[in-house]
Amino acid sequence: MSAKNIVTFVIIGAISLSLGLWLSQTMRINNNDTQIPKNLDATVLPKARPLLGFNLIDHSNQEFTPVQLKGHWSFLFFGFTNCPDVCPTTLKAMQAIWKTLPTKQGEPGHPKLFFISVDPDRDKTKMLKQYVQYFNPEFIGVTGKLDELDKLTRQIGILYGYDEKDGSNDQEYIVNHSAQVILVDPKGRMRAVISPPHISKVMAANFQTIRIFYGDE
Amino acid sequence: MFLFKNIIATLFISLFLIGTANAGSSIKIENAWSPEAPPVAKVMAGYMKINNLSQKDVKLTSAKSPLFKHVEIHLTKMDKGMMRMIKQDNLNIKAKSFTELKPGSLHMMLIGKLKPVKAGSTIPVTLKFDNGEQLEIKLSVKTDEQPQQMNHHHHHH
Repeated sequence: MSAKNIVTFVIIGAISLSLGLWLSQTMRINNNDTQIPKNLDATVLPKARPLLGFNLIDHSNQEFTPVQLKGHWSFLFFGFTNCPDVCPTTLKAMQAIWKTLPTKQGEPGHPKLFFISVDPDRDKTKMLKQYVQYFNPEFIGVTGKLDELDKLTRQIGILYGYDEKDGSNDQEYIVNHSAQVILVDPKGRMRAVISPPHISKVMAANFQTIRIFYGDE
Repeated sequence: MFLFKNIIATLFISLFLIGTANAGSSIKIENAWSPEAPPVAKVMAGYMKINNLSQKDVKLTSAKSPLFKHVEIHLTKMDKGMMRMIKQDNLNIKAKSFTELKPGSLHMMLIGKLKPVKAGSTIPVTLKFDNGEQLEIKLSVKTDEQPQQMNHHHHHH
């Protein structure tokens, strides 16, 4: 390759780079939807993923379908009430986040938290309600049939499974589950994945950054 | 003969003193606590720092509490995308070292709550070790929102 060729390459490269940067900036102004805010301790999906086709039940025995994820930001956390360590620790972090929210229930931008039990055999709606509301009266417990739970978890990439469920004591078994908190946008689309350890201050700041970046519509 | 008797007696007394001095003192528990759980929850967690002051490794072999059906030691571990709780048959505490039970890691799982447990109260737990020591401890039930703050606290000690 001659020196002239190298110079041409560098110039073309520089032009492409500037063009790319300029385009990305322009697009960022025009359409935040395909952009990702910077400096986050969360994995934001480059393309928001609509969550569809599941039919679960909330702790007041009302339907929990894709419709209930629309019109507000939502945090989804999957677990079970017989969970001593990960679930209460995460729900306490969420409780702390709620205390720092700049918004009140019903105001634009105010999120909802859905604690989705993947242990429907033991977690009945009535006790699920008492369990989540201990952490915050706004929190909503959700559960449902295993095949309907799978329809939601598979879209998100949440895994769960049981240990010792076939054992002698059918009330004492362990549920293993993914501990990510999922952030869903007001269009009902999966927007970000927050991995443990869940530190409330970091999560609260990240949520506000993401929320402001994409808006509450 | 008299001297001999004296030596034997002294020896016995010394041995006895060494024995009592060691009993219950080679293991020291610090910061034993349990996060308050929703009243409907049937399980709770126990966290603490177990210090082994002796020259030998010690194993925690069992734990029990009158407020729970049984108590197990578990390890929360990320495995194949899931948080798994792995039951530990025993818990080793290295000589002149410590093992810490903390959120998201090793913890005591208190299973089958028999009575209501509220913040401000304590949960009595009996710990048995393989060196024959048995400790009666109390977990302080707290409403701490963030276990991170607990760790933060630690740095100031």
